[in-house]
Amino acid sequence: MIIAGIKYGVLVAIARYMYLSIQSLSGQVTVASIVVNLLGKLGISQWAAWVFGGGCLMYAQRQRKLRHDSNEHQGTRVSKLEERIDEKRSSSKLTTRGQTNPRDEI
Amino acid sequence: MNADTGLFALSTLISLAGLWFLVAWCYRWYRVDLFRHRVFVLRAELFDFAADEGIPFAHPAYGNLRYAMNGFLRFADRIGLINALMVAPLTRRVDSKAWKQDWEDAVATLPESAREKMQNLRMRLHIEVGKQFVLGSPILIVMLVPPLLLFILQLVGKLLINQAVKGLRSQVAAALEYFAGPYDGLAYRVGMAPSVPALAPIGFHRR
Repeated sequence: MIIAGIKYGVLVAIARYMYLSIQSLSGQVTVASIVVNLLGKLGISQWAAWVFGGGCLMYAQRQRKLRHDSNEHQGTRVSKLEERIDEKRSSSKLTTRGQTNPRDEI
Repeated sequence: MNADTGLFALSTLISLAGLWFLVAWCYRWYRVDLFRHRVFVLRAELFDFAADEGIPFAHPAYGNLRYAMNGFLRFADRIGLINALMVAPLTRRVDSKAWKQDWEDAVATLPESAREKMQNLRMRLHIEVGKQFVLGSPILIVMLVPPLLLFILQLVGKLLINQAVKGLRSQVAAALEYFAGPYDGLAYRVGMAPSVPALAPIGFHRR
């Protein structure tokens, strides 16, 4: 609970300051001009950095999904083979994708 | 606040939100997955050891270690500084000494090679847990990693300096031997001679 509080609390704080900074702009600029100015003032290097960062994030997510898919396929097979050798084989009780069981999540 | 400052603040906050998502979510997911992968590798090694008849599957040492690994795998996402602080009072109530005693009694019944293997696996499990504890928490990384790096740099620096000085010392000694060494003989003769007024280095020459 504390960890979730810290994680979401920081996001809430950032959101609050974003709201305050947008509020301070009221009467001076419109929402559309905020978006245009934010994107328009980015130089080539900043665009490249944003695209690179976003691309890396997407790549990492795809790799993670691929690994979990592989866990699901391999893990089930390995468990069955191990059970042939050790019938009383104990399990970690994770999901077939190697993630925390929803019943164990806080 | 003028428009430019406001827009600058907004773009900075958007970047900060992205960074926070990376640190608090993405890095955490990566560390948990990495820890689980490594412990699965250890558990597979334990299973293979038993399958190769290094230890019976029914042996208490095998069961104890496997269940411990299963526990760490199951709650890998809870290994961290804040959880450790909250769980610390609880571990005092749980009789962990009894588990340790059971473990030691169990491995004592194993032959030497099997005992070493089991102790080695348990030690490697602890290393992974320690790494997860430190590297899984951004707060601990910020607190511990820079002083540790500094300490390592100091050690390496001292080693390099000592080696450099050792090499330099021997070269300086060789140079001094070359230039001052020939005077040893003269100094010896002067030292041995009875006291005379003006002592001139008559007839001195390099050897």
